[in-house]
Amino acid sequence: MYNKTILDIFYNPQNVGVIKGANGVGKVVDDTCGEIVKIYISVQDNKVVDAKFQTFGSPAIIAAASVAASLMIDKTLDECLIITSTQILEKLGGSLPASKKYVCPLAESVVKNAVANYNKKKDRKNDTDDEE
Amino acid sequence: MEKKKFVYLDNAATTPISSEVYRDMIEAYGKFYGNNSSIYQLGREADNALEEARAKIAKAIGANANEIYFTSGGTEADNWAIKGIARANKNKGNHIITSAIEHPAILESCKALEDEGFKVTYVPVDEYGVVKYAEIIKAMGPDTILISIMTANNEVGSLQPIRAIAELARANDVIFHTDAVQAVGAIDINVKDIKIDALSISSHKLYGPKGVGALYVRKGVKIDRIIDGGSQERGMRAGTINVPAAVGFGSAVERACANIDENNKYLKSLRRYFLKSVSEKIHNISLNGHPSQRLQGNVSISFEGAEGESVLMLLDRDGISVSTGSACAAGNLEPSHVLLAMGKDEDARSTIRFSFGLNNTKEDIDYTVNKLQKVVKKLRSISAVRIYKNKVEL
Repeated sequence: MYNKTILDIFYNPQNVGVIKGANGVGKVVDDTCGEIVKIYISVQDNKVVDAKFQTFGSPAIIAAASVAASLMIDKTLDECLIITSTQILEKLGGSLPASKKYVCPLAESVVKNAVANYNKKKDRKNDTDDEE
Repeated sequence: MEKKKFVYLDNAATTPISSEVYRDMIEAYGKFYGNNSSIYQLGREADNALEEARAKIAKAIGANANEIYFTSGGTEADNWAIKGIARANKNKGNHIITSAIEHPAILESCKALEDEGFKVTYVPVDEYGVVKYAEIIKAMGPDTILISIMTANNEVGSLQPIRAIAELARANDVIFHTDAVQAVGAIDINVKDIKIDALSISSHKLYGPKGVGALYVRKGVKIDRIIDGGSQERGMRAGTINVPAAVGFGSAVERACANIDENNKYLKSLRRYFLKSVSEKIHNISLNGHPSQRLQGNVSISFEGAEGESVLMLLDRDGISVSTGSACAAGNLEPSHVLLAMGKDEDARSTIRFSFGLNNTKEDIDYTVNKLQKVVKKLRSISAVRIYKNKVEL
């Protein structure tokens, strides 16, 4: 059974949607349950100034993605990389049904993917700039 | 703001007890507290009440009363039928045929028998969730001793060709069992006419109490007991029967089977009304199950881009109870074994079962569709699966 915190976040998730022109996008497709989570980030001066998410999945993963996106905002990229599934679980009220335990590690990996995607795009841009 | 209602649309999971059944049970709890195995008057009275209930159940399916055994429910009846018949007939062979869309009570019993050395063929179904009869013929062999195919599927409502399968089984001297938990009280079933050898029934699917069911076993069919102990149920099923629950079951089955046509007409009208309304208001949906050969109270719909459990929980917030066969657990790859067997891999995660009952009204449906439209729209706006009319993108 879901705790009240998860349900409250699920009923009113924050930071839903797409950032047009996002400079980093993390995406994870969970093979076990077919859930899809995307986090879009807007980064300025090495800091996440905005983060939004989209997900196809259960209330647990919607709530976890909402928490993950919120945790990224106003953090530096290095700080984002140390966001853990434990932190996400704490924000979800500290408990999940046994069958949904996987959603926090999933959300953590989307956060890392988004940062990695930003770094990759930046490196590519730097390479292009160097060539110019 | 629209007032919050409570709308129960999960009657395939369980039904509320009807007021008449409730009344009969309260009376039985007061009067029939004696152990029906006791030979003094109080015991005899309880036993008479139990036998009266047994007779009602037998009559409802065209059986003889001495062919009905009370159980703790549909699951026990299924376990007993599969394990008891297989074990009692293993001198004739060790092969069982069932389908891929059976209830877990059947599938898990079959798996348990595989561990005992029995061989089981799980026959596939078509896109409508109907067992392929030709595959059953193909699977039949000299070692086949038992065929078990459900009468109606619990998730998508499709009726199975049990008459033809029963004929085939009888002609080949194979025992035919059917899990009729969803079907008794919903469609006419006569075990003699259809040539059914064993049939499982549950009380709480037809407005009776939980914790009681029955197994019909045709006289002459060999079956081992699986619950050992006292000599209750003619030595076939040990344990004191819950007489008031059996009385409620008898009352419920009698009422359900006396009004099948009238009830179906009502449920069909609700189903049509619901489908018309949903298809007008929500795009990118698909209907699961057979369009006509089906239970009238069941509607299984897939909503592209909206995950089933999330739909369920948002409807629950609005006071609407529905179910999804697709609750996903970590490590469990099968969202719904029924939808997967039907080839609906993509839709399996987005499917909701609405099952109507006699207590539902058109107002319930108006309220539900109105909320459902908002819920699906909300989830699609969050979804990482992009939905366009007639087009889906990841």
